[in-house]
Amino acid sequence: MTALLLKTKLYIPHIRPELVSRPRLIAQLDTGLCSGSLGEDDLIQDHFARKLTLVSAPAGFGKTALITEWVQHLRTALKVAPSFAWLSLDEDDNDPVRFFTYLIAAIETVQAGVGANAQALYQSPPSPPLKTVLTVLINDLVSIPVSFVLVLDDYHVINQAAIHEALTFLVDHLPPQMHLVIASRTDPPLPLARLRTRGQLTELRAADLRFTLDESLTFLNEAMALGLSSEHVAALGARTEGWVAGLQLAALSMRGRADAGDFIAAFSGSHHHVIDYLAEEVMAQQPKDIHDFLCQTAILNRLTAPLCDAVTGRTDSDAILRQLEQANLFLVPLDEQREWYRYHRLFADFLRNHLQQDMPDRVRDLHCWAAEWYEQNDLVAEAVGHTLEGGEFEWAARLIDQTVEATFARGEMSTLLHWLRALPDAIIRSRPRLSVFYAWAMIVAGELDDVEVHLQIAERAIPADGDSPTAASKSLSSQIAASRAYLAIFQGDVPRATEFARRASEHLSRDDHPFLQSIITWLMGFTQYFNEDTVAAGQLFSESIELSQVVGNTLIAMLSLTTSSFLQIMQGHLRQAHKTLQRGLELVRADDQLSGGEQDGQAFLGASIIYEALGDLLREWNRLEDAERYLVQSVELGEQWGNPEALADAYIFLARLKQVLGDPQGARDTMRKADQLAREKKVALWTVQQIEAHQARLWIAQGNLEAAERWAALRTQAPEPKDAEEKGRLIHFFLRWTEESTLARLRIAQHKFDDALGLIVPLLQVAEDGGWMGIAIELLVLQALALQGQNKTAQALNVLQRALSLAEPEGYVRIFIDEGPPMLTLLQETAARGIVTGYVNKLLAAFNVSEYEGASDTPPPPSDQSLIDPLSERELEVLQLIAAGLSNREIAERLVVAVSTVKTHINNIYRKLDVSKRTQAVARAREMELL
Amino acid sequence: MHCNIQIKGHLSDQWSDWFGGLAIENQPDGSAVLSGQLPDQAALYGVLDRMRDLGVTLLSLNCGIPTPETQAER
Repeated sequence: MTALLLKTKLYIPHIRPELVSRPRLIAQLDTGLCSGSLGEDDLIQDHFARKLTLVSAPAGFGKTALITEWVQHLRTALKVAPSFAWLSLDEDDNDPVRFFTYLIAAIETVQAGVGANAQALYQSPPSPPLKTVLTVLINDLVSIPVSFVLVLDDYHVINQAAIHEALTFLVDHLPPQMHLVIASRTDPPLPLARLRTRGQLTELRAADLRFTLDESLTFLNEAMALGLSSEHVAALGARTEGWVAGLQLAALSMRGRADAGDFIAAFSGSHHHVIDYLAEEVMAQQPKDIHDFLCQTAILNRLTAPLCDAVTGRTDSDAILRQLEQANLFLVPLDEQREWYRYHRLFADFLRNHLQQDMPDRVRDLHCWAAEWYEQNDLVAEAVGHTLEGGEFEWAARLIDQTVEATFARGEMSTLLHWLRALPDAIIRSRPRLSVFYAWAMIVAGELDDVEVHLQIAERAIPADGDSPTAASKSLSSQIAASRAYLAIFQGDVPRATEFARRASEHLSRDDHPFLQSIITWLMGFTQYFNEDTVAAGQLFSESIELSQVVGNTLIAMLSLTTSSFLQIMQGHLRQAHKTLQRGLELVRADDQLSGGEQDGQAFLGASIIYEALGDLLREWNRLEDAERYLVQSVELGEQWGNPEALADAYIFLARLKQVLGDPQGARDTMRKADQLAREKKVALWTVQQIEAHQARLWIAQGNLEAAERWAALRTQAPEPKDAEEKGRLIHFFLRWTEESTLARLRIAQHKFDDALGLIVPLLQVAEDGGWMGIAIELLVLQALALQGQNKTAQALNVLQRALSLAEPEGYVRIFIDEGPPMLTLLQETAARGIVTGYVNKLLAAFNVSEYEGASDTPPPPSDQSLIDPLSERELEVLQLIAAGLSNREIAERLVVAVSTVKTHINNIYRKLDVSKRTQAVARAREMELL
Repeated sequence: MHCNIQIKGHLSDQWSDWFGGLAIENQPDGSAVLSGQLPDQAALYGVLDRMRDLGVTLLSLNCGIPTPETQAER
């Protein structure tokens, strides 16, 4: 919508002179703001008495007029009145993105820039969950220094559950200096009962809004100057039941009549529906050209002179509109300048029906003329509406095609889907671009079922161009491939995703719009990352993060962030990686805070991959408790979401951590789960190989060299990469590094130091050539150990010194101390020679504090438990927190898990301890000396 | 499904199309009955919304559950 039309939605209507002042209702409205009565000197303190004012009554009861009068009243009666923001809603606002964009725009009339952070979330689609946007907005609203009232007019047009839920959220978290007014024809599905019982709601309903006899008198005799007797007024009042619209129409009908009495008698005697009867009367009174004007313009949601000219074929619409406004013929101005108007809805409905009856064969033409005008004036979205209503589907499709990218870019999926669904299949089939956007809109909106169907439709439409496809069909192929890649990611099918990403990137052009660019850029990054062009990959990931700077469908952003962090870790830039992951964490926290623990699948996956990367990084920095929290949580989320690739990594990292924490059994159990996962689910071959290599590594750490040797033997029989190209691929390097460094460890453990060095040295060369300093440090550590094994201490120390100088700025810890006593000795030697003393001393201190696992298992700690089913570590943790008096929510926050998870733990605790209450659980645990 | 909606006040025939094609019968007691076939619940709610927007007062609403016979009729 253009700025021009937007301001009509935000316009605060002015008082209409012919309407009656209603002080008794004004006083009622005041109670929503201030507990006592509002005096001239009353400043509304920084909080209002109540949260919500609801004016709920059918059409024509004067809701808008009343609220308008109230605004005026407050502005004149108070020295410091609250600020007012107004939003007039219509059916098109049922798109959640649109709704909140306008809501934010309305509030910005109170304080410029307050919605900037929230608006930024919409900059590139897919759009964030509403609650995310609202939380950001509410945080900003809280800092608005003035008190203000937001009016939502005609809320009954909203029928989207998503909007109702989000608005409920807003009401629940309403800043104290904000008051919300909703005018609606039906009670909105908001928690009214709750607000009522808490005294947070002011309500005005039909019964309140009916005109009393006095008000009717004032209206008819003063405002409309009809000079009726009180019996006549009473009769009219009775007949219309105080319905404002009825009285207005009655007044209009009676103007210029000699004998009001006859009219009133006839009117009273008729059972006819008030509006129908009176509107007919009014229409009958109009001269022909006005009558026709009213009918023809009935199809318009909004009227402006040039548009009316286009639709009626006249040139004097300007004058007519003013005339209608003067005559109070239900024409409502939408701005100061009287550029735009609309008909009062009651009257509009009546007129539309009248039009249908009077000149049905003109209706289509009228829509066409309106569409034409809107199109010529670049208001494409409005034009679409009219073409659809006029049944001009080809035209509609052409217009939609024009505006589809912009609509998509604004995140207005609901609008897009609404339009596309209105088009006949044949038309969509003939426009493959629309099919693709249809598919994208569905993906983004989370309706994944029919996506493939639409992609196939789009594909069929691409002309088989043979050797030289056109730019358009290339772009289309790229988009289709990207959709498939994106879908594959959702389904956890990495090989498929990679393949389609490759195809998509072949045809990507800079002209494709940001959302697609962000996806394809990320997909390309992913591909490059596997193709050893890590510089390109890193750049592409940064680009895609920038492009997809959104929350909500954070998947792309999180995937990009995690993969970027992985690259950074490989390059030895731990601090940078940490920053990158912190960004991911912020995204996760924003999501989690809002959805109250009810995350959707994407959020699960996104959070789990951020957590696992972060957990492993923190392990390296020897922050073991924090690492454990994240990794446990990552596994829990990963198990729920079920993406096998991500889960496999989570298991590997967790197992490694458990080994370091002195829980070798736990480590084994976790690796077993990883193994099982690889067997049961469809994972990439290289994931299987990763799992096996890490399993071997664990065996080595636990002294089970025979099992590790078995792995080594099997491994060397594995097929070599097929060709030089495949051999050169980065994924091969990473896999090779994992496997060969594990093999080197095995050789060192077996005292076969020559073999070990034979593996390490070439690998180290590749790592250094490629700038993989993170990998290089580990290899240097192994090299030092191997050299020491050969009693070449001087060389070993040289190598170690190199490793230390690389590692120091990035805070590496465990890469050294995980190597146990041999490394301890080397470090002591290094310290003795006064090399890199500060860092080395820190490492030595960490050695003393940490319980590193040597070559063999230690027996499990003696347990005083006489439980058949002992409490797990986690359950003990929860129990301790319960004993400390924390609530479930606090425990959840402390342990970085969902509340439901805490409850599950508590249920298990109750079961195992055979109790049913917290106090009992604590008592029993103390009895058994568990606490 | 067959629907029967009773409203307050009379309406002229010309509103029939506006209200889903239901037939309008004005009653002596000042109410009107709109009756006829509506395809489904969504259509019914559509008609009710339009009534709401026109300020019509609803008195009663009856919709038949389609029986095999009535379904065969359609």
